[in-house]
Parts: sequence; C-alpha cells; structure tokens
Amino acid sequence: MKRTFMVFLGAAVLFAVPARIHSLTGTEFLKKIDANMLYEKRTTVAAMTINRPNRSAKVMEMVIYSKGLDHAAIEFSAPAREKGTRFLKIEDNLWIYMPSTEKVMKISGHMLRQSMMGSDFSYEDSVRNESLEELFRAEIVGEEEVAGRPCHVLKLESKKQDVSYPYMKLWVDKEWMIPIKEELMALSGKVIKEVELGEVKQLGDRNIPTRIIMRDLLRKDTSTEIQLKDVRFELELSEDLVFSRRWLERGR
Amino acid sequence: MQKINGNSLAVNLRVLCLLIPVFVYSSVSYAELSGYIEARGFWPQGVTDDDEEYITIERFRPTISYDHESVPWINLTVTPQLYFQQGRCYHYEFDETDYSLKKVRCKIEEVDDYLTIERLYLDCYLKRIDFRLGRQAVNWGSAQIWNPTDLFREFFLADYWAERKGIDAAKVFFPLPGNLWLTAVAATDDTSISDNRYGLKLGTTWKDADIAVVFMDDTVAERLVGGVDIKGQFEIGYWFEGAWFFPTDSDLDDHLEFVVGVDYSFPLKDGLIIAAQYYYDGSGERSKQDYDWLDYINRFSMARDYASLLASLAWNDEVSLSLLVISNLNDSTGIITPYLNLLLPSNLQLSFGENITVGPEGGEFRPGDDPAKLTDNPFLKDMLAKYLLPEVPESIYYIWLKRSF
Repeated sequence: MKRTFMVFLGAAVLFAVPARIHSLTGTEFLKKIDANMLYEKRTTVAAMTINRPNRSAKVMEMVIYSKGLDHAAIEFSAPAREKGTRFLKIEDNLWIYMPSTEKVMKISGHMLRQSMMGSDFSYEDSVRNESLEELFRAEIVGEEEVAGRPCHVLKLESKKQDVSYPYMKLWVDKEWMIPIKEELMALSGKVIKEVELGEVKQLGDRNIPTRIIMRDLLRKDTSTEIQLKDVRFELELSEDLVFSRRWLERGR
Repeated sequence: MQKINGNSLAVNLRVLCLLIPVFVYSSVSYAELSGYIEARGFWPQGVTDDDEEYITIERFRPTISYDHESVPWINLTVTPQLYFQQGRCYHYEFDETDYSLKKVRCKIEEVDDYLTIERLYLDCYLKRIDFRLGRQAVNWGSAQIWNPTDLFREFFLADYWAERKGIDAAKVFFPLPGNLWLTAVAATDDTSISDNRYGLKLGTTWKDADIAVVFMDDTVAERLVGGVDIKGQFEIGYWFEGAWFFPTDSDLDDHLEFVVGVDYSFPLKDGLIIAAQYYYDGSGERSKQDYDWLDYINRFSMARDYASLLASLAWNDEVSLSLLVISNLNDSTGIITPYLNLLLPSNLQLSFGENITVGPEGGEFRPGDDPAKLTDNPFLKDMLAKYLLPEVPESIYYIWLKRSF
C-alpha cells in the first residue's frame, strides 16, 4: 500500500542484529535495513482501522500483493461500501478501480499526497517506496528505549527535493533492526506523521511487526492502525496478472 | 436519472436459464452477494405542468457472482434490479387521431416495469485473453461528464455518477507485448439486434500517462469514430479525450469533439480537489438562435463550447462537500450543483444537494417559460409552450439514502 507501510513491512522482516551493529555508520544502518526490506514477492492480508474522536472506529480489510519496491496491488474486501475497490501501483503510476463506476481510472500525481480512503496514510506513502539508502543520508544521534526495547536513534535527511518527508527520525530496535518508531517531518522540521510498529512475530527466520499505527498530526486526534493477519512471501496470483490493468478490471 | 430499462428482460431471463444449469450441474463452489438498496427523492422547482412536483425512487440492486469449482476460470455475474418510481413519471405518445402528443403516465403492468436485469454476464479468464459475454457496462473515457470516446455515451443531468445502463455485448481484453492492451467490444442496442456498435481500444502507459486510441463503428448513429484518450500527470493531473465523428451518410457533416481538463489537490482537511474542463462539440451551435429545440431531449448538448468546474472537499473520512458547475459558454446558462455526501455507520450513505440552473432565460439550461425567446417558428413555439417548457425545472432538490451490503 503506502510507501511508509511498505517500508515498515519491509523493515519489519529483519534478521537478528549482529553484535557489532552499534559500530555501523548511519549509511550502513540504512543499507542493512534496505537489504532486509527487499522482498521479491509478498501477499499480505490486513485490516486497517481508522480511529476517530467521538466516533466509532472504521475497519477496512484488504489483501496486498507486492513485488520489489515499485509494484503493489491492493484489493479491499470490507466494508461492503468499499468491497471490490482495487488499487494498482507500478513505479510512480497509480490506478484505481471502483465497482460503483466499473471503470479503471488513473489517479493524478498530486492526489498521491492526500489521505487514502480517509486514513492517516496517503496515496504517496505507497507510491514512493524507494530505498532508504538511496533516498536519505543518515546520522546516528543516540540510543533510547521505546516500549522497553533498546533502540538506536537515526536522523535521516533526504538527498532529493520534492519528497513528502524530507526528514525522518527512526528508532531502530537493536535486536531486530526494525524501526519500531518513526517521526516523519516536513521541510520545516515539523513532525507531520508518527508511526509505531509492534506485536513483532517470527515468520520463518524473520521478525515481523504485525501492528502498525500511523498518526497524521495535521488531523485532529485520529490514528490508523494496520493489523497484519497473514503474510506470505509469495504471490497467490500470477505476477504478470496481478500487476496489470487486466487484474484491475477483473480482480482475480 | 437513470431510465427504466426493461425491454430486454425476457431475453436476459432466457439467457440466464441457459447459463445457470452450467453452474448448478454440480455444487457451486463459491457464490458472493453484494449490492445495495436505496431510496431517492427529487423535488423539481419551477415546473408549471399539472403533474406531481416530486419523484421518489426505490431500488434494490443485488449482485450475485458465481464461481464453479470445476471451471475456476469462468465466473457468472447477475445483477437484477427492482425499481419503483412515484410522482412525476410519464412519456409522450403520438396520437394519430388528432396528430398530437399525449402524455402517458408510467404504470406497472408487466414484470418488466419494475424488474430489470442490469448485469448478466459470463467472464472467461483464459491464459492470454479475458472474455465477457452478456449484459454489461461499457464505460470508456478519462474525462468527466463528457466522454467523446465512449461507445455508449450517457449523460445524467441529475446524477452524474449513476451506474451505466447495461449493454448486451461481447468484450475481449487482450494483454499485448510491450505494455500494450487491446479491448474489443461488439454490442447491440436493446431496440434491435441489427443495431450494433463495434469498438476497439488500444492502450498503453507511457511515462506518467495512460494513452489510448479508439476506433468505433456505430451502426445505430450511422457513423465511424476515431479518437484519442490521454490521462497523465505533470505536476498537475491532465487529460485530453477527443474523437472525430464521420457519418456514413455522406450528406451529413463530420465533426470533432474533445475534452481537455486539469485537476489539482490541496492539503485542506482530508483533501480538496479542483478539476476544470473545457468541452468542444463541433456538432453544436454557437448561437442559441440556431438550437434544434425539437431535439432538446435527445441530444447530449446543444451548444459548441462548454466548461465544467468541480471542487470536492473531503472534510474527514465521512463527510465530503462538493460543488459542480457546468456552463454552456455560448448562451451563458449553466447548472450549479452543490451537494453533501455522508458516509454513515452500517454501510449507509446519505447524499443531498440541488441542481440549480443559472443564466439568462432562453438558453439551454434555462429555457424559461417564454417560447418567443427560443424561436420564431410558430409551430415550434406552440410545441415548446405545450410540452417542453412547463416541464423544465429551474432547480431540483434531491436526497438519497443508500445501504450497501
């Protein structure tokens, strides 16, 4: 789905950290994270819950298919109003199919920074899924505990202009090498989104956070939680099919 | 509003009877139910005829999708629709006894009058192609409101995003090498099996743009159509959708239609989207004195130049406010539609708004009640005064409530 979410999914699947990890430079940290993030193929069943003040939570269920860093496809299966809505992202292009219009539409680039399906995630969070090492310069700024777990604290500065989050701050779990907390910042340095990752589960030789909470601080008191129900490192559909307009139109 | 569309119910039911045994021969491995039930109300303002001043509509539209375990590459989709309408509902019939038009009110006499089959198609997913046969939506074009490259164009004055009418068609989708794809459609009109339309659409994605070329042979309108459809992004979103219409009758003139538009979004609340379009219809008239008012109901548009502006603000994940303006640039009339959409718990959706006509009387969207402002022709003046002008509202309030399942 969104870039950040995919980064988290990727970052979540890390090998245990070697003892000498504390001596790594910032760039080497990012390289290690990137190396562990790169999944060839992945199918994820997830539930997205949008928590709003004074209103009941809104729950959406979806299946996410992804390949590498620039191919992703999402199909919503609940609630009934959104059922059958499909997104396809290939590189910087994003399309949507809505059952109500029975039509595939390309989403314009500027839309990518808007809220997706009313959540705290934006469309661009999924589209901009570049390597952290390629996109950012990193500096290790200290060590802190987050939720009782020792972390390295990294400050990231974008190497490129015109990105959604020119600065990021990561709290990288020393054992798992997973960012378990992130602050995503605007050019002014103002934190505009906060992310927490938790409920780490072991899948094969990988540790995966199965709960991701994002808070868009420009909204009032909302948060969006993604609970990963099932993660498989394979595609349940042919990759030629699922990352194509053909899949958008037929959905299977 | 969508017209009642029941004249092919009998045909569709026969097709359904043929298809269902295929799926129930042994056990059905998977059946999925979705759809909605909704109620709509419309209150036209400024009508002066003697009919009711409201329309209420109730629709129940389930969709059932079947997969069969022994043929997983085949899927059957059926969407029947129960449709009831009260209030203003009539059509005109020609009375040969006195050569006049008689107003005939809607009546429920046959099952076709309230039960229609809106979708009934069989999907075959083969290795290299996908094939869809049956009553389906054919919905082409990237532009908003006006789609010159659409094989079956529809224009809903009071409901721009209504579902498309079902078309009896065969559609094939071919993925081609080199990021190309081809869609071919052969479709028939409900009125006659010999009234066919054929369309080919070849598309690709190049850099940040979707590009498609379209060719259509429309034997119903007796014309060939060649078009281009482009939608892309370059800082802002943009699209161009245009087609040239060549009548097969050489006595008629060919013409060009195109839509060019841009959109952009702003980080206000959950997102503010502004979209603007210009629509050129070469078959339309530049002066309102040249409008063909006898064809007012049948034409999508009467003038040559139009513009539209859409502003849509997502206040939060449940509330959105929109404003749509459609303007006839030749006669300065237009329609302004402000509306509010609420996503409620339990899959409920509530929408209400108003279509307001604006501009000087005597134009397309605001003809007024004085036929002398529209034509000098005495016969046409009489026709307009009797039949058209009393029925054209100055505005329409509407509300609808929908529950998805």
